Amino acid sequence: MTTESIAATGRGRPSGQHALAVLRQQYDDRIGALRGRTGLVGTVGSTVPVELILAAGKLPVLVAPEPPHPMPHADPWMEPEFAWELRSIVDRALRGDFEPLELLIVTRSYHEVYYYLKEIVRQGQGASVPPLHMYDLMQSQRTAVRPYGLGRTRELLARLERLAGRPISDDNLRAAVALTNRRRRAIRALLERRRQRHLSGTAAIRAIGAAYFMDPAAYVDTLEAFLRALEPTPGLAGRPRLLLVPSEPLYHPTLHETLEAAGALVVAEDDWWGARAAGRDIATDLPPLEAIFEKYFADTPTLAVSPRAPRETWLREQVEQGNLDAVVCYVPPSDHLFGWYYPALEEYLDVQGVPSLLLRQDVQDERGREEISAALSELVRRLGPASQTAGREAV
Amino acid sequence: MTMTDAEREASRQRHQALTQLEVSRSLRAYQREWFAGLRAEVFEQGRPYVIGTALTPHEIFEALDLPFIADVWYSGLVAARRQSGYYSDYLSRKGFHDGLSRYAALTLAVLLDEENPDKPWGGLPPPALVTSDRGSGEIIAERFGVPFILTEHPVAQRLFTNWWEMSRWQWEDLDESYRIDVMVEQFKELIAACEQIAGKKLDVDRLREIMDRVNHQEEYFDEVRTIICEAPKLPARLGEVMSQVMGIQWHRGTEWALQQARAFRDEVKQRADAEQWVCPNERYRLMYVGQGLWQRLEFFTQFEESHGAVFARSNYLSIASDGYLRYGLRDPLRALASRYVTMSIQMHMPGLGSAWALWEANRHRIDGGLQIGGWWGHRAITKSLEEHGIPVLDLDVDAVDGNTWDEDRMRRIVTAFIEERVAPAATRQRHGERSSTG
Repeated sequence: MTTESIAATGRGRPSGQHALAVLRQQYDDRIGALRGRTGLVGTVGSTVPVELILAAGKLPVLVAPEPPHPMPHADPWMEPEFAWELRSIVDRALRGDFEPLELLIVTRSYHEVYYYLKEIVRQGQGASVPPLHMYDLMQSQRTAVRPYGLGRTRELLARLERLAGRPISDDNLRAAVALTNRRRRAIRALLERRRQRHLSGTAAIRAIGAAYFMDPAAYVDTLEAFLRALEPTPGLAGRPRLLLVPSEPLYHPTLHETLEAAGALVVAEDDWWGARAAGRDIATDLPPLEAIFEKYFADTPTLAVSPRAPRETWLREQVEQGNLDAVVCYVPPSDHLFGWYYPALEEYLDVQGVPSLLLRQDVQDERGREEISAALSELVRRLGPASQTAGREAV
Repeated sequence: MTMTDAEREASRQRHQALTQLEVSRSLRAYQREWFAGLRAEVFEQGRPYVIGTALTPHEIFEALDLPFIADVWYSGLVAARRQSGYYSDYLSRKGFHDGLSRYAALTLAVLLDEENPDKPWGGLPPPALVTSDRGSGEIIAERFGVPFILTEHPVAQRLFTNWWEMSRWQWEDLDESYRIDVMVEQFKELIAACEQIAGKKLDVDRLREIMDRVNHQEEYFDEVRTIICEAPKLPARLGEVMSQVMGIQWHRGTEWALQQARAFRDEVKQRADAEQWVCPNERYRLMYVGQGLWQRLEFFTQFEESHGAVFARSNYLSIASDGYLRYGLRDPLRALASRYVTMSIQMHMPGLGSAWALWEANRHRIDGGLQIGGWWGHRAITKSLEEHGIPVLDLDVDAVDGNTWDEDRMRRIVTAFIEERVAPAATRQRHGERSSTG
């Protein structure tokens, strides 16, 4: 059985040694999920309630940007000030990568992608762009915007019912919730092994990220097989433990690879591509549509939460657990928001006695990578061997 | 630290010499008086005031007698005083990296900087409430421990490229009812917070009166635009027009703002009737297609004499009528929500921004456009204008940050643009070769 066939059919249980290869292959070959498949619905961003898609009998597939590449399709339309992530998605859409999708659901953080694609289609230049749906979930978690979010969720449900050609029942939704909650539990089991330093951050984010491109049941089987067979990777226990706080979603492994090549171990990241992918389960004691909405409204990592205190709860919990050696903030030049909060975060970490490092370079370019590597090597040297067992108190 | 007294006096005299409108002087006098009053009332009497953004519903504060300052307004004052470089550096020194927009954040810098007493209108007292989008406004609220009220704007799903034809009367269709609903809910949250600090309840009838007054004010601006479009030559210099429009807009809803807008309309009309032109030798008409160059409003004046080039159009005057006017005030809060739900992005959103810019360019008989960096959607606008024979210069400079300015380089770039692109385009236009209007 090939790695592709496992993911594509959802059938077959991989052996432990084969499981990592499957996860890695699915993470790296993201377009593979689209090949030869039907019934696919693309999602852009972390807040699409995929349970609704599954309940419609469709397979959700995350549409992710690619690492830097020439963008001849997007460049004539989009300004260079946009984050790479957004421009890459528009480029891929115009290149025809998403043509197999029956629907492409765009979320609030990517609303410019939606506006640009709408206009390109209006001008008759977007024949390969699939039908678009804007799922506008405001994430401040304020009472004032809650009914709006619930309304948009019902609107999405209606759109998917039209796509499926049938009503979506509460039982359909409950079955989908059971499936994704199982996936969340499997990811949390992985995070626990990660905290025990049984695997590298690079391996962990590949294993987690594969979830966005695989059939959920196949993913859970594969991840569970991987965890059953997992032996602690030698040499990790002695490395300084880093919490990574990025200003943009880490849709690539390059930063983890660079940090860990410099001798560190990334034990968690404040990012939906990593340690915050699962979060809490969807409640099963509420009407299913409301429970699904509540999960995405109130339990998704984002800078959008207002005021700031609940937004930083997870991060502070990680810091105050005391089993970190340093916090690395990755704020590449494309950042336009996180930087406002960084000085206060740095001050908090100083008060907590946790060393921090600010990276302003872009890890996706060679020079940036070299500078990050040098800065990390220096940090690892400063943290020294004592930190390897005693945590931040030893620094 | 920033400018010396001698430099400031020289700048003031230069500014005075370039001032053509009497209303520019009365505006300046009013602002001086208003800020002095604000400082006295806040510091001496403990009166609460609010800091917000250009997209904040000022009308609510007016109805509750809460003084209000827009962050971009104050940032503009900092820039006009040539202090933007200093305060931009100050923010960087405080750890806010230089990739963060300084357009509105200079207000934060002035509030944080307790050492430099040299601030526009004496500086700002601590606010009682901050309402804005995420970013520097949140930091102000945290710094002073006051409430922060966020406004999230719903994403538009039905996009009308002729939006300015619908916005006055057909706004419920244009702005989509469910989007207006969520704005209303958020405004109720803001009103509740404001009532707390104002110590009184909002009177909806008073809000309606204020909305009505704002409509009248924007109608005067609409008349000014029509005069500029239809007069044979430009009757009022754009820098003064922009300062006047925004100086009034920041006080919209007040009786002073209405009277000042009328005086502005009267003076521009009088100048047009008397054929008092900014540049009697006018040959080329230019437009801003994005932000204005607030840090150097007088920079373009030099091209009047050297090239006969005038700036005839900016977003600021045109959006005043096309974006703000809302008729039908049975439910004033709903009309207010419609006013702000898409405010600003309709000027640059792909499709919407380009259709409006082209319509505006044709109305104003524009020969060339100037785009100042930073606004998304400008490529579509540039593409649309250029396809219709109107060249556009993308000027790589921040609207307010003086650190991005190089006078000689900018002069060379603009000179080359006028001579090599605008002049030939204008010639083609005079010979009827421009593409049909959008």
